[in-house]
Amino acid sequence: MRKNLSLFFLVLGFVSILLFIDSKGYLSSAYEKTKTITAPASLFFSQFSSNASSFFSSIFKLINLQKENAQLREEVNKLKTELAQLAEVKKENENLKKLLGFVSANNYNYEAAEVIAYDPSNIRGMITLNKGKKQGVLPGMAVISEGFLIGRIYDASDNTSKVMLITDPESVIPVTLKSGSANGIVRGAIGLGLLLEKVPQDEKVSVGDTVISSGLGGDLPRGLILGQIEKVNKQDNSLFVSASLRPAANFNNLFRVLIIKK
Amino acid sequence: MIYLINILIVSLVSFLTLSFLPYFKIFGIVPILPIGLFLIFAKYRKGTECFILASFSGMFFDLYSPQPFGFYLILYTLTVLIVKSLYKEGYSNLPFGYFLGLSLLVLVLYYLSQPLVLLARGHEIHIENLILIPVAIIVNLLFFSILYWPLSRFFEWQYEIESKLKRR
Repeated sequence: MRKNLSLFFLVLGFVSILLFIDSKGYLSSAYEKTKTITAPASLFFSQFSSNASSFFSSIFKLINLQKENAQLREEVNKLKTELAQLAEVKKENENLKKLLGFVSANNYNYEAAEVIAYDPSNIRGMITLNKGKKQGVLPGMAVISEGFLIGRIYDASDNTSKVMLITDPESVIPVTLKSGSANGIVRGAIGLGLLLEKVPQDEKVSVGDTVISSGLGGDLPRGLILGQIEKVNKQDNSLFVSASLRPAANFNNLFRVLIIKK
Repeated sequence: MIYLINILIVSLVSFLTLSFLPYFKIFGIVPILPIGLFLIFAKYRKGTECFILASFSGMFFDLYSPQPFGFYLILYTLTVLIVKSLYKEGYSNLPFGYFLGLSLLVLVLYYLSQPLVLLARGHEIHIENLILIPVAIIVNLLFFSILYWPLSRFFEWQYEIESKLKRR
């Protein structure tokens, strides 16, 4: 027991020394090298697992395929009609923009990346991507999956970067409602998805409203979808309204993502 | 040779936890397999080897974690220390009930330390948010139970081979 205790204190001492060296910035190249060595193996496991997961979910989906097919056909017809209308609106919008001398705001550069590791704690929401500073990835950049905001770059090294997911308890995203003008913030909640907070009482917040990034603060572009309001908590004695959101992105199967470069 | 095999096992389990299992969550939970591994490993292997491999796996996890550096390193070595001090010397093998009890203790410590780190960083933690913890503990115990049989047989076998070699 005594020997084990001294070994444990030896490890503690070792961690303290590492922390001290790290605070002086000498460990970053060692981190970089370790991550470069381990990244291919992590990518292999991640890719294999993502493919296997998609394969099994496809098998389950086959059962409902006929029903889903009919629904999708109906939806396609609806969307075709909407698309025709939107094309007209787009044309009109472009003409008006030309008249006003407006420059398109949605002129982003995207960098495709793959997830190589997840934080396993189940409490925090963090993933590691296989792209870093060498590919122009910098802290603060938005990361999207299937068109939905999933997080932003938290830390970037030469060839990898860490993304703090919007579901992480430390994540705070300035947002607005797509249907109105209400501004607020979205925080991650441990095991409970997302929480919309700091929306003034006089603003209208309803179940089903889509929540998008407001672009305030300058880090994230405006208009990225985070999720939909699931439950509104309104208290008469409170200054603000809060609500729980259902995230739009599927956080259980993140593999290929896009980083929005500034 | 045995050391090399054990390093490979620890690396494989670490990679599985970080890059493979997150795609097959059960109730939104990824099992922390290295804890289960070290609980069994510490019974059959010597202290120094356990601490070295726990430090190796811990450092690896620290690279991919948002927690302060050293969090997993200390956690895994602490697991080894707890297990080493609590295992009864009289047992030649590792009884399943005893293993589950120790797993529960280490998992409670692990899942309570996570919100504590967040609290220390000045974040608010609501009690209803912690409902995830008992679910996570149950899922982990389930996975550890699956790991228990093959791993304990394997390390027992390793122990026997090593003893035979020493006698020669």
